[in-house]
Amino acid sequence: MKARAFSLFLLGFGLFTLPLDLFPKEPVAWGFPPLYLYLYGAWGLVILLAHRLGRRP
Amino acid sequence: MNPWALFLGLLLYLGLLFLVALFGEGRGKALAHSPWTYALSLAVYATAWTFLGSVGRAATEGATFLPIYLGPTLVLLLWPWLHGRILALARTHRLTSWADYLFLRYGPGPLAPLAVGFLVVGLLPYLALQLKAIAQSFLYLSEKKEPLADVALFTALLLGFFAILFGTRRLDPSERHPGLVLAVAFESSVKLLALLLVGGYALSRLGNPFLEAPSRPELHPLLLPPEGLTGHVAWVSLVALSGLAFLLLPRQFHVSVVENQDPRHLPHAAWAFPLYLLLITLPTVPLALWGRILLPGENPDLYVLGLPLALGSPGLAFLAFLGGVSAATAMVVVEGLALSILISNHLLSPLLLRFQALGSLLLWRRVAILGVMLLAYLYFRLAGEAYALVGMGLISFVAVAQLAPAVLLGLFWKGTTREGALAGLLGGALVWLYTLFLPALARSGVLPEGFLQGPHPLLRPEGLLGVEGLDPVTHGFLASLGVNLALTLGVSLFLNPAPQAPHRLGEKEALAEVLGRALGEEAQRTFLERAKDLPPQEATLLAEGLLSAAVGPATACLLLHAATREPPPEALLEAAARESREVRAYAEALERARRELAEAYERLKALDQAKDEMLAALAHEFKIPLTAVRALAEILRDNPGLSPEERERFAALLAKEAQRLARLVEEVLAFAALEAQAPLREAVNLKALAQEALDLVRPLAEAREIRLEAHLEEVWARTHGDRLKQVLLNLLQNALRHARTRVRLTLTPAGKEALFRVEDDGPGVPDALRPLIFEPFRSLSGGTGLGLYLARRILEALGGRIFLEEGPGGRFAFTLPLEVDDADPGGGRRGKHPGSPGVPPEEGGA
Repeated sequence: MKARAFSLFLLGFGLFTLPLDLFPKEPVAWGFPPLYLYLYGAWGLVILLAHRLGRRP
Repeated sequence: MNPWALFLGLLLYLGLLFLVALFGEGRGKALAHSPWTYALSLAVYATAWTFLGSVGRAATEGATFLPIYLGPTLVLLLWPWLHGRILALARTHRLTSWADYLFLRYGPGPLAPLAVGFLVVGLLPYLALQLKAIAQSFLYLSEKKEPLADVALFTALLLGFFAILFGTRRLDPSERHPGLVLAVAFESSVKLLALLLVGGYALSRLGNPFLEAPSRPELHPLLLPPEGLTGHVAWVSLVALSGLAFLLLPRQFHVSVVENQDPRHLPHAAWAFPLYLLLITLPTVPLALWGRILLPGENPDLYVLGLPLALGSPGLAFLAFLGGVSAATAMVVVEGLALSILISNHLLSPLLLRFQALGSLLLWRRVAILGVMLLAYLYFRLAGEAYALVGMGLISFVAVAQLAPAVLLGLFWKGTTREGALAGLLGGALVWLYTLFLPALARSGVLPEGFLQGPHPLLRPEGLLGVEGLDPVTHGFLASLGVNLALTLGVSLFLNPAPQAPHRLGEKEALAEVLGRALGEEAQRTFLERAKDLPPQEATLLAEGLLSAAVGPATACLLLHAATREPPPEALLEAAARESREVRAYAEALERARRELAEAYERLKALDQAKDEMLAALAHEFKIPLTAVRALAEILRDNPGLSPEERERFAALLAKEAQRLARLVEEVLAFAALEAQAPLREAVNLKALAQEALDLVRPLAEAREIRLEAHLEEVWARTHGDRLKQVLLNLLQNALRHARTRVRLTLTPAGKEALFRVEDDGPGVPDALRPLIFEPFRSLSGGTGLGLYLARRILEALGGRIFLEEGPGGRFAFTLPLEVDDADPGGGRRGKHPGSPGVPPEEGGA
């Protein structure tokens, strides 16, 4: 459990602190900016993985 | 909107919250204990800053509002390490705050009070932020132009009163408050619902703002990532800062640790709370964009209220107002409660104890809440109006983060010392003051503007060492935490730590008395029940935990001082161990003495019994000749006509019985003398003594025509000559009584003993009587039966022994030590003669 949680923490830290400057600046579908799409997508992924982690015995 | 209607609505909402809290204390307890409630209570993190300020931040600085929520998400992923461990510690030691942990980890000293003082000062901007948010919202919705400060003061008092009502009904702050937790969870639901409704309403009415943005160049920066290295550093710093703040904020400790009902709620909260944060931030960017488009001249912190009003929905605006009030109220109540506990436990209680006023602790805790709210108001008056909501909150976040090195290194590195933690916290706090707190006052005009330039270009408060390009919060965070960490590590590594105070032990009754005096009889009874089977150390820890929970560890330490005793230092421990060894030796000697005494007692008892038996036997022995004497005398008296021959025969019988009686008396007297006194020993020529005994019995031998033979060697011994002679006479007379033709006496040395043998050529002792021959009144020849018994007793008193040897006729032998160290006058020793060829004494007889 501890190893998985720590791995997830490292994954989240990597996803949340990537050099965001590297992302394309042009909006994608429905005008959504890629920055927010990426951040909310990564956040959602981490939450999903945390949910799966919490359900493990 | 009508201000009175707003005020009434506000009061009704606060009343509703109170009812929810009451429900949580009563029938709603199960709901308050659910994992969902726990996760929602963690959302006390989302304050008016989140509800109002994040939209304002997004409308001015774009995506930089998001790291404030990403940091807590990351920290919660570490729950198996951090929160699980903290929960276990808190349960064991009844911790109520990080300051308690610092006290527990680093011991008594200035560290915990310093941390508390610093937290109070550091969190003032955060509390002021809540006052400002509510006051701004109230004035904005009521369209009044009254001074903001007046409304803020009223708000401060109202929220302070509410915090007192919710959180200080009991003294024990480690007790859980299910009602408070349910109310906080309810408020979290209200603010999430309100923000989602406002966002959804704006989107439904106004459409997708992202489609509008490309045509508005002023909105482009809001949708772009932070630029360059400084932008990235600021982003990462904010993630780290918010994560640390989430972990270390007093109110977060209170809801996540103190109010935790079940550690199994943690894995649930680890995903449910981040999901809450994600949901509550979803409307932020759309609202910020529409606010910028529709309300260009308005305060961005008020877009959440302004947009519904602009769209003609005052009801939704009021709901948004209640959402903001919910966010601020929950924060103020829980933070005020947590801070008041910190203040009372680490600052007030030791003072109150000194003035013997600990009974008024609860009152002082309430005063502390009001005091904190008034200080927050003062800060708001001094500096609040110059900063946006998020800016004020971030200054507090940096202050709270200064606990991180002492707490985290203390948790995971044993090498962290009290001095290191203290130096780190002091250094970090000073840098925080210089780089963030004082510049905020300078920007508000309280301090001169020139302060921001610093005394030297390298010492500019917002650009230490000439650093350029970082925003003040990132700069202050990195500078203060860097100094803090460096000092903590450096001092811990390179300075020898001062010795820690030793653990103390206390008697359970004394500890219970202290608990009773401080917390009441119920606490005293509870302690006595729980400590019944505990060893002293655990009982002391239990008492310390109970007291710490109520009055703080510092005061608990002082209170227990009288009831505990210092464990001895090393030298005393060694002395105690040495004394313990001596005591053990004494105890063993005493045990040996006790055993010897018990054996002596048993011997005495046996002797006493033997004496009783002998007295009974003596009476019997006396009775037989006496009866004969009496009968013969009566015959002579009652029959005067007896013939002279018969009269002479009866008289001869009478004389014989009288002689027997006389002999019996003599032997009894000899026995009594033997029992009464210890023999006096002197050097005795045994050969001469034996010869003397032979001479004494020679007439009897001649009378019986028995030949006396002797083989005597020259032997000397330290003994009692008369008694030894008596033994020899007894044995020789006994032999002469049974011998047919001869009696032989021999004396030879045998090792360290002299060996006497008296042999006769009589019939010997029947096998059946051999074991009994030395017992009193066991006679084979009509004697008194005391001769051999007396011989045995005398020899035992002289340290020798007598026994019967195997062979034809009677063969008595006895030994006598040549030198006697000790002897038993009352019984002597009975041992086996190493050089004697005879049988053991038990087998002797005559």
